Amino acid sequence: MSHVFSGIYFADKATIADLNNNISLALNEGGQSLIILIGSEAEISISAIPAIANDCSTPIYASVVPGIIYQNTHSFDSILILSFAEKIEATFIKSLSVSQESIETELSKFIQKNGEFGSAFVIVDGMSTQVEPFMTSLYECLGSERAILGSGAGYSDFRHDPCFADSSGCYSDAAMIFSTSNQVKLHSVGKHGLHEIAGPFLITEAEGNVVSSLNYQPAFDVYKEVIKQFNGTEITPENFTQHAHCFPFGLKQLDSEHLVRDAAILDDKSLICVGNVAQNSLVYILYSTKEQLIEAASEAAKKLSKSLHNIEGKTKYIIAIDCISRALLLQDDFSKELIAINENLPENYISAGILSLGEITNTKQGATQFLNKTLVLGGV
Amino acid sequence: MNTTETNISTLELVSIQYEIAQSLNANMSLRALCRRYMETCLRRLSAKAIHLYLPLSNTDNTFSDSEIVYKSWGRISMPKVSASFPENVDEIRSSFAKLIKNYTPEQSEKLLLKQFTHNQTYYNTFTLSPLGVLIIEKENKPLPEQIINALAPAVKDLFNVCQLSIRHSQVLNEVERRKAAEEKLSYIAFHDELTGLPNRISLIKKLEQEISHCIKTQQEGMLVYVDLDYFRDINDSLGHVIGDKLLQQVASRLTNIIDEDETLFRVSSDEFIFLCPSHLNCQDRLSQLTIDINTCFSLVFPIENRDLEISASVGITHFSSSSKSAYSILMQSDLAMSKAKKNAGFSIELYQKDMERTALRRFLLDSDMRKGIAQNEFELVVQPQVNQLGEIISAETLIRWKHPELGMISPVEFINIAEKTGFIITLGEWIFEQACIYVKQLEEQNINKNLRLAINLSAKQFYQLNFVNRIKCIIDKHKVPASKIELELTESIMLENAELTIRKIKQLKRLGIEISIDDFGTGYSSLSYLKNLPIDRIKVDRSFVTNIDNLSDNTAIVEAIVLMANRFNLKLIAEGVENKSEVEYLTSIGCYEFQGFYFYKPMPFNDFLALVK
Repeated sequence: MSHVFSGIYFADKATIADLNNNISLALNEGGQSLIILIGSEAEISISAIPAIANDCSTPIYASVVPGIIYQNTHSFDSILILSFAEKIEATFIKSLSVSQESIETELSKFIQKNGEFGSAFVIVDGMSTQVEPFMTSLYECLGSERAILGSGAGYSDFRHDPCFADSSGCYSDAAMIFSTSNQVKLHSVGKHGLHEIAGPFLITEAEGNVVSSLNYQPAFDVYKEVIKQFNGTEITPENFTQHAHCFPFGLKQLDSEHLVRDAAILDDKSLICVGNVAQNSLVYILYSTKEQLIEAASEAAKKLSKSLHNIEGKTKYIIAIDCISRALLLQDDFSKELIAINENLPENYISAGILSLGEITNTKQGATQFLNKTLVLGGV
Repeated sequence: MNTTETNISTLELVSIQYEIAQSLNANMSLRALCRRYMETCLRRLSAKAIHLYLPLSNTDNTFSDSEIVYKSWGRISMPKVSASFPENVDEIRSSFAKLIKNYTPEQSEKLLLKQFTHNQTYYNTFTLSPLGVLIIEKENKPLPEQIINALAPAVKDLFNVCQLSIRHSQVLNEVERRKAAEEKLSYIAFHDELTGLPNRISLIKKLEQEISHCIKTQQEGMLVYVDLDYFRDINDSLGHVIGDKLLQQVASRLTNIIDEDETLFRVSSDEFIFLCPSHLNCQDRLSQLTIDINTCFSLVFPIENRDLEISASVGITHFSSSSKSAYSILMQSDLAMSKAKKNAGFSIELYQKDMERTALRRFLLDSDMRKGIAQNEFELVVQPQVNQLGEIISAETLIRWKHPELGMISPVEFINIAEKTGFIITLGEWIFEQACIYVKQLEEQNINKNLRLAINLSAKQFYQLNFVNRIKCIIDKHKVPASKIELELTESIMLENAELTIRKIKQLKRLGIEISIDDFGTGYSSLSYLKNLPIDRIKVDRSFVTNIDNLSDNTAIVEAIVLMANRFNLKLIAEGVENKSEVEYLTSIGCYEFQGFYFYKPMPFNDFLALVK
């Protein structure tokens, strides 16, 4: 089996000239299809991509992501080019707001083209209200035999602007799926390192991503009381965003880690989360120290390293999808998390990836999940 | 049932049970409700896949071919793709076989729970006969027993809600089917099936709207009526399949020349109408449209290796706020088209008011004619026919109509209308009966026994299915000798269907009736045609007789007719004889019977009686 990528190209504080140079380099080194990941604070606008893609005979797909990870560094104004060794045609769903049937038709075409086995890399607009239905369709159509690794795309300031492009134009509310292998399931590991500090609470009123009541009490009242009891912090509407990212919700799952949901916005007494939260589900309030987060990242890397030995053929790159909220929480210590990851990976691997708005991977059973505050590592 | 060591709190069990049960919604389609239920199960139970099996009966076309298992069950799975579905596992297959074998329509109250294991995959089955089977698939770890028990009511709910949803869908489908049928009927009602163009009903509706629009805007629109010339000949000679293809091509060409706001209708077999709405500049548009229509018909229509040529007659009328109704506008365009039809080749006529007057008179005469018979307005006069000695040998009966208001109406006018409307059959029968009454009177008064009365026949009358029988009935009714009756047929009748004509003439002759050919010489009769017809007499048309002594062309024709008549032993009579020199000339070439003003004008029967007594 040959490598999936002919190369991965990184440029910090990237300009258009840097982008063009790296595209040329990727093509000269045998790139047959390119994914360009643009840091959300980079000088390059996504609107520049269609013209570049039209001038290039090789398929080019691009996405804006909050930030870029390359080895031990991370930044918000860089670019990363993933250069495929073989020509691939992405399944590009340009609107997730179309009917479920239309999305499933597109996903069925992916199956017809690539079969039911192997691996895929998925990027979806992290700010779209249709992420969860899309994730359901993704699993419904692609099944458990295709391993999925993916990221939520978008901007670090959470604005909902176009964050996808190809030769046909720029799109928001979209998703791209790339087959990385039609034979081999990639190995991925997801970990967050958070633990319960309170719960369980029954979500007694919720719709979409808005939690209105916990145990029949206004959600914010329950939430602020838990945090006050935990470390004495008085959460108010004014300081909510400053503290909330330290105390995400954890949805109870039967055999796995909690499914994390960051409480991002306070709306009166309701909490608006990143990702859907179902009514009647059971939820905990989670917390982690910086050390525990970094330790979880380290463990994830160790676990992946072990599993890499089982992959047939050669793998050369580790794709890291690390939640932007972990970087925001760890602040300067985030580089320690990257160092911890790389220290535990085999020496001959290059790690690169995305600071994401949501992370995508399979559960132990195979189902596809959209996660928060999680580090997902995959070997390709 | 395996037990597990998983410690699950009561709250968690309640939460799972509630969320799964609450995900059900009977108002959803079967697939949508299953999808939501299965997605919830996958998430809450950390399962690999969920499969629902339902009996196919009553589920309509819910399942695709790949989802039908054991011929009578359908499967819905989340995810839809899998390396191996549960029905491929031996133990599960046998379990299904038993279920199908013991199938009973009676619903079991008890949910049957079973667990199968295959290659480290655990399948928890929930069966509620005969409603369905739910299978939860998990890898490496079975579902904890506490969960299975907590789940059981929610699974029962699923089966019941599925049934409700199926019934709900059936009702919806039925409503949809009816709606679709109604839409189809509505489409058929307003469209022509062959060309897909809107039909006459649509035209009337749209035209009424346009007239209303004219009232608001004080503008005017127009109606352009296109009628194909001799289209019936194409149907009759090449068949309806070719005819239909021609109509489709015509429709297509005409559709290509309409502007965005205009509509083309097919109002009957070979009639198309353009409706040009009121906001267009009519005069400019009309010029362009007539050019375009002409172009459409100037090119041949290639149909099945044939290049068909056809022309059209076009009638145009304008409509405005003063227009009375859609029907009157349609009639105006029809009248204009009818006038165009009288010209040869592609022709266009604009509606004029006098067209309406002509049409109105035609309509009134048609209607009054029907009353006229009952009110004795018709009279059958006779014009004597003589031999070379001037002796009356027979007479031709001629119809006259004295309208109570309009006075004498020319037979040319009212016979033409009666031919078109079909009234000629009633009128013809009245004439025949009247002629029989005259024959009876001649008989009763013991007048010259060989005196015949000749009666003119129309094609429509002659080709009636039971014509000969009806003639016989009238003769029998009046008890008159058929030999005293002569029927005059035109050449055109005989040419229409020679075989049928010969058969009918033979039947008439068997009754004893004599047959003559009227207006002979105008219908391009051939020798062979004359030879085969069992006729008695030829009537030389008046157009050849007039001035026969001066016109060499007519002389040659009449001489040829005389020769023919002699050759085939046919009697000969010249009509329209108006002077002595014509009589002398005709006698000199061998024609010895005459009818015309020189001898007698048409006269009332009583005058004729007095004459022949």
